[in-house]
Amino acid sequence: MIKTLFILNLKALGANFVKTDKKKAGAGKILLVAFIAVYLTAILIGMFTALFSSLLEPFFSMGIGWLYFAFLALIVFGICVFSTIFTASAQLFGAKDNELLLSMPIKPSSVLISRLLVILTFEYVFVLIAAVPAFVLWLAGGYATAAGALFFIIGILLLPLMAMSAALLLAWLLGAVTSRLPHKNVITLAFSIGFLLAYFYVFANFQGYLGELVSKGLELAEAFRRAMPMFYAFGKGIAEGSVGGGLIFTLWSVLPFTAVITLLSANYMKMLIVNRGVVKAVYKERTVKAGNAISALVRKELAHYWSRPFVVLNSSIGSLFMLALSVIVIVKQSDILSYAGEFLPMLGGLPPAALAAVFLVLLCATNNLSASLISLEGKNLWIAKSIPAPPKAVLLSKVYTHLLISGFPCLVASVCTAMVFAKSMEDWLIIMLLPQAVGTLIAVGGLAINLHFPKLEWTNEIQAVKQGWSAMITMFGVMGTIAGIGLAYAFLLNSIIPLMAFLWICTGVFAVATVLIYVWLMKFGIKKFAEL
Amino acid sequence: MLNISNLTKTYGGKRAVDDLSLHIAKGEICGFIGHNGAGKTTTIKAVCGILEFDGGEIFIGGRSVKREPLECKKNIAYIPDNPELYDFLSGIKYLNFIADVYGVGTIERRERIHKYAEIFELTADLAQYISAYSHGMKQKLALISALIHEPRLMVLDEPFVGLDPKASRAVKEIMREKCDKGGAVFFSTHVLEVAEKLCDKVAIIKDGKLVAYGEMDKVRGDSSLEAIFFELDEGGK
Repeated sequence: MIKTLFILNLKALGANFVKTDKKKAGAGKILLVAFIAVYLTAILIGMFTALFSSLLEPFFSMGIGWLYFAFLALIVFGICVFSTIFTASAQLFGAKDNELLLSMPIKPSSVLISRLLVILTFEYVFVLIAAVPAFVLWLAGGYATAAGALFFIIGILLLPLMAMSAALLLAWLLGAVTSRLPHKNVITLAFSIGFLLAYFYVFANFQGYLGELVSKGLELAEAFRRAMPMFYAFGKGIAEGSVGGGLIFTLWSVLPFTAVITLLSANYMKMLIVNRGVVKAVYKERTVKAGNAISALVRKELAHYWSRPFVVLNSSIGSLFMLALSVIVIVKQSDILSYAGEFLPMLGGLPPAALAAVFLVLLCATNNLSASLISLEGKNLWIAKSIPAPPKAVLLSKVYTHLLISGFPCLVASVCTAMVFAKSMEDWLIIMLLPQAVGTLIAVGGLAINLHFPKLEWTNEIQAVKQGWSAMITMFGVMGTIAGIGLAYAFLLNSIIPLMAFLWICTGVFAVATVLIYVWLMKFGIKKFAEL
Repeated sequence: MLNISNLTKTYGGKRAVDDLSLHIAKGEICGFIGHNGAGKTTTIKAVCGILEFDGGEIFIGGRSVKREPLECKKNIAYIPDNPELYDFLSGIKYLNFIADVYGVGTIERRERIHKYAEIFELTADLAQYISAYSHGMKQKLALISALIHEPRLMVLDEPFVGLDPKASRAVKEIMREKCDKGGAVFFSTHVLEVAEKLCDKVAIIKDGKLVAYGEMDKVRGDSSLEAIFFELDEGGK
């Protein structure tokens, strides 16, 4: 039964990536998904190879080779826990077919384990992407032993179990805390953003930490050993072939996992059927000011957006960064200017304002909210189609929503950045206009792509946001376009045209493209919408 | 009020609705009956302007659904067979959203929300998110939202599914009241007893074709609607 359910869950997940509404996946689509997967894997493997190659020699030469593997374990643990908390919560406690499956003569523990196995499968993929480069470098460095290699394989198999135990406990705690609260989305969102900011803070300061780690290796190793004995055991088992280390890590992984699974299996049914009773909001009749259709539609889109933390995180992370950037450039103005003073001469005296504008463009490019706004209508699409609002208004409300979510933070970030880097009116204008031109192009372009590739049949909205063709095409299309323009300038055009003039041409091209796509939306897009 | 002439809709090679014509005058309630997949929902969606059709014409109050879809939509209320509503809004926010879209004024919306929420006993739950509603509560909210702009034509797909007996009776009374005030109702149902008691007219659809249509007394004759339905259904086999 577990096998059947596991295969069913895996198939459902696979279909989300390659299937669009009512159509079977073609070979082309499968190939494209495979290409994207290989591309992303290659990038991650490259990143981990660079990281571990900078750690291998220093640690092993200092006699603290275990820290190399402890570091690997810590990274893998962090990635697995963060990627699993919300998936585990959604898969275990929020899956729409839970009630159906539990009404059948299937053991609740079978449902639980089949879902956990799917999550574990993905965790193993993450683990391998990080572990293989670390392993190969270790072998190539000549530090490997047979016992160490054996412990490495065992340890890598056990590590996701430890991460899953922690993730399940955190997911359960988060669910227990938020279930009685009326605004649990806000708490989940705050939690996610906090986690993400902490991650990026560590990431941004990573080189500094690495330097410190290498220079104060022995001192930090001792602190690490005391604070995280499970990772110390993991590292010792592999680097020194220590049986004791291997056994201790095995216990650290297996015991909590067994305890969590036993606890969950025994209480899974109860956890799903218990009604903790959310505090009921009290209705007070009051007069509400009447609004027009377009503002009602935009308010509806914004309410939808704010109610789904994963939509905020997956489709508009750039807005969060832009707001953070606004604060950083003002608070850390002198540090940034001094860093820029050292850094800019290396780029051959390129204008700081132009580079600031390009940086804002990169942040704007990570926002692809409009690419999933049609898909997010899902089974509610009948409302948008049956109300007496023209399709044009429905489409415009989605463009406006994207512009509000992306454009406003971009405006704030542009003003703050320009205050630091702009030296002339032209500098101000390029910092203000270029990112907005890109943001507006993505707003209309993403919507046009979503009209072509809608994903209206989903069981979880995350499928519409993360796993739809529209979001993928928009994300890679924008990244590819910006990379292409950047490379074209760097290798072909930089000797012909100054960067500032090139950016003005880009702004103009983006504006023209926006107008063209807007015209298409209003003429043909509304027909596409009617056909949905 | 509603005039459908020679409506045809094809999916792939299959005719889901085949040359269907019917007319519902002001003050009439027309029941739309047929087995699953007969073409009821397709017809209803075409009437409401949310499904493009291949042939024929649909007029609501003399206006073409094809040429003046927005004017037609302003005059109708549509409830699908399974009303999926915006579960990220509270009940009252959803009603205000619909009222804004239909251009219902502040005073009128307050009065109508109060009236219908009381009738359907949903007042206490209006501040709740729709995600916390049961199927029946969603159906009641969909009904209130359909009535908030005082539609002239109500087009309802299986409106009684999920409703408690009291709410079902309220819906029947509201349907009759709308018709008495010059409106019209076109609804599909599988509950033949309800159709028989409530409807002035009945339309029976089979494999996309209208096999019986007219005033209830004439279609039914001395028999029951159920007997006629099965007779027509088996007659074509």
